[in-house]
Amino acid sequence: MTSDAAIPTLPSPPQRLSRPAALAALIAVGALFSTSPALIGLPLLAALILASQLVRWRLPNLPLLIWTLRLGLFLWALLSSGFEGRSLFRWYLKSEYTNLLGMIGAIELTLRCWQPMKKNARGDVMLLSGLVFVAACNTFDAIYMRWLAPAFVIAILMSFRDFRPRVAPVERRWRPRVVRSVFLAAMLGMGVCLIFAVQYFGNLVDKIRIEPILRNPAPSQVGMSAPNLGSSANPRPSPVRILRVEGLAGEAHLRGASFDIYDQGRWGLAIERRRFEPAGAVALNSAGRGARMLITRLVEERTLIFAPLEVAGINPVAGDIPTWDPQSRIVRGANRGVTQYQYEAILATSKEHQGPLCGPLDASVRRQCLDVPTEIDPRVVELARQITKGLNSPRDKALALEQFLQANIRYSLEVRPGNGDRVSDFVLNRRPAHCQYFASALVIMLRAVGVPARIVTGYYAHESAGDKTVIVRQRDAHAWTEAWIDGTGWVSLDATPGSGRPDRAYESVSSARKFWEWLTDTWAKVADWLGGLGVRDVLLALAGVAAVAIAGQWLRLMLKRRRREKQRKRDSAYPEGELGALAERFERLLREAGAPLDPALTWREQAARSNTIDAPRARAFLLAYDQARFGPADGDLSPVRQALSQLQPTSTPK
Amino acid sequence: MRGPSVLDANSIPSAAVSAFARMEEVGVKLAGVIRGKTEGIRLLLTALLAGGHVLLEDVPGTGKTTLAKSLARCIDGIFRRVQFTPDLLPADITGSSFYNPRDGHFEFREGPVFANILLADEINRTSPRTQSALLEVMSENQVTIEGKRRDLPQPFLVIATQNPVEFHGTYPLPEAQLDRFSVRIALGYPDHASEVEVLFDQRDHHPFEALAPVITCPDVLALQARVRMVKVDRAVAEYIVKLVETTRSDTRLRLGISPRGSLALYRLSQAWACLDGREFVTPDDVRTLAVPVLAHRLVLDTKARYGGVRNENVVEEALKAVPVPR
Repeated sequence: MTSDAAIPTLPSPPQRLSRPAALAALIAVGALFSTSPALIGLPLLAALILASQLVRWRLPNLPLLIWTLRLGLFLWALLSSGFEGRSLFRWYLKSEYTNLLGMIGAIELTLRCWQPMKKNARGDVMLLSGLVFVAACNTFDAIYMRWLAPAFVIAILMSFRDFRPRVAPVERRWRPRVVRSVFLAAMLGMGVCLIFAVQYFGNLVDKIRIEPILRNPAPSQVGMSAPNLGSSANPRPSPVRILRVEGLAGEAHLRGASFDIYDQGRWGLAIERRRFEPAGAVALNSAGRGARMLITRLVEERTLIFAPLEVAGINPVAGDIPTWDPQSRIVRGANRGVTQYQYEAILATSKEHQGPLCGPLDASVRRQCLDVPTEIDPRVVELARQITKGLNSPRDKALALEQFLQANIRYSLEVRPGNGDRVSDFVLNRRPAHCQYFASALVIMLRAVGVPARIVTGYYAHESAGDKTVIVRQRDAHAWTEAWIDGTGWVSLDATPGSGRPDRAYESVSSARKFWEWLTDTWAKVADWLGGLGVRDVLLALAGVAAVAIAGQWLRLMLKRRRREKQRKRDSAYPEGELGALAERFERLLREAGAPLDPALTWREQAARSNTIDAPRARAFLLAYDQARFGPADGDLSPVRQALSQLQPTSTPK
Repeated sequence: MRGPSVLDANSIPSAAVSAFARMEEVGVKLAGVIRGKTEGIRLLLTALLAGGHVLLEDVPGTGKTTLAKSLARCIDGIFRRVQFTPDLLPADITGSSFYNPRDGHFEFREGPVFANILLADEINRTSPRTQSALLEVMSENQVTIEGKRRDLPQPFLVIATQNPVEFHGTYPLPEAQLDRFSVRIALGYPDHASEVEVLFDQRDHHPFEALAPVITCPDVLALQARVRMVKVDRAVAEYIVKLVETTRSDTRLRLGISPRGSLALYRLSQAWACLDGREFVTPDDVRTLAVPVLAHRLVLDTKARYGGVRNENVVEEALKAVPVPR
């Protein structure tokens, strides 16, 4: 009658990013962080972006302040990235500097989120998050980008909704209870499916959980592969932890496998001469009384057992019997699937003790370990003899050769081999190379002077982690030499300068990684304390608690809504009796016509927002109804009834 | 503006029906003078029928004076206009006694308040003393000078104007006095088509000059009495009170709406329904009038005012919060 059409007011521009745009920004920043955890400020920026969604306060619109902030943060990003001045002109070629660009983009993105929204701010924010994501994409080996990229694209697509012209707010349409229940049930079903998926694909889920955080996952079975000369060592090897050794005070060579046949730059086992002896637990679990080292294997899918040469016995904590091959001296632990496998290495009481890993040197092995391959340049043999000239004992010869290599050839991860045989080239041309070259050269030279020798691969344990505990990472993989000294037995020799410790070559472990490792250790301790509960059990328990909580919350919401509905009925003063019934019928009609059922709107206003209701008839009904409801009472409801019955059949959508 | 009438001859005496019809004609005539402002005109007529007073707040040149003059002519009433200036004294508006040397007596000369329609132009330009004299007259409908009570002509409608853009040298009306105005109307600029019409309307003479009385003052008084008889259902009255109570508990306000405000909303809703040809008030009437009747009575606290909250927003939010009686 008087206010048939409510005048729509244009909403004021939003003060914060829309949810999808903020999600896209978060994914971009997260992707950048997972590619480059060295940019340690990124989690803070992500937290700030998230906080801008929750907090109403915005930076005051002072250009001076904002520019000061911007420049300060950019400078901080530049300085903290270790930007090298001399590579200034070729920075775009290096992936770590692309990350720096991404970092600057992320800073700008965060600043934008905290400024009051300007006219084109939403487009700018989308562009910036796209740039950050592109910067994050420079590392293609990051497997989790497979998940992050689609998520980012979906978020960006969703945020295109922001560009719709702003219109007067449309009242939220009432969603029928059935639809909501179905939705809720579907969500619960998905949750249950997720739990079962976690149960059945536990390993996979663990991997997904870890990989976004841990860069460069360790290639499996590195300790097993035979040294192959010729390749440069990976300049950024994985810092994934492999072992934790407790009870080891100093440094140690933990051997995994040994190889004695050299052929064209490759080391290998002489397969045809392998002898498998059924020597199992008895030989390994000797009840030696020496010091005990508790070694914890921290990665899965690795059955190799690493132990020092002088080990007297190996005793798995879980009680299983390790298999071992006395010929190759490879000891294998329990099968995969165990996250943390622990075994005790019982050290011999004296240095002279030759444990089962040393093995006897019979004639055939001696022959094999003295073989100088024909491709070796004779000058290498000549050089070895020259160095050991005048020395009689094999022990002195071995030490002299070791010292010669340590002193005369430089260590380098990068190898540029020359022509001909690798080892000969390495020795004769003093070519800088990595541990495998040093070890190979020492083996060949020892053999040349009549000392049986073989190459060993394993880990060089040196990173102290508290009292008598050493952490072994994948990048501590090492190769060295074992020589047979008559009268003493096998001894370890390491010709690599500085024992091959790659401290200077590798950056130290980031604090983020250390924190992550601390978290996993704590988790393992908690799981241990809980009585060996697996991740799955805990997840199941959590899921159960969550299900109960969700059900409780749902019940509470239902009750609350019922209460509110009753309250609404009371508050909105519905008439009694037949008029009340007519009112309910009309309200149902409005609902079917898609009108917003807001108790604070009059029916006229509600009907005006429905475009399917028959407007003139609805007006006629409302006139009659108002007359009966608010007018002087005469008790005659027939006009209302009549108007309603005329309204009903034509309420189908036009 | 108007929906179909549901009146029938039995419910309202025919004399009243014809009086309302003439009131409607007043509206039509006024709309012919002040183009494109039907809403404002209707509010003005509502205030007249409810016996209230009007605060016209707008920039100069939007037809405030013409509207007041035209209304006075339409109801055949006395129109007076006072331009409020800083040196205006209370006696200048109420009137004072003069010594008549011829017969040696004091003779009372009526001030401009002795009118049916009083246009108090730029009321915020005068001193608070003069303002309160006028506001007292507005609430009492009488003037007491030198101990003698003098009744004002009835109906008595004050249309006070306030210029919202200038603040230098003004005395903004205190909240207590704003409360005495039933309704605040902002005319605003006419829309494009209306403004073109205004230009052509005044080609040879001002349309105001062609106005003839449509209704008499006694008729208006009768209508005012009739308005008081319009039925307000208890649910609607409770709705009014709930709206008012909502503003009282609003933390952004220093002062909510007084019972005088709810009374005004009640009375104006009756008049509005009457102009609509109904003899009962619906919640729609209350909702339509809530902003013009209530908004100017609110006092925002400083923080909310500088935070960009407007009085109108507070009332609109109250309207969105309080359930409407069905």
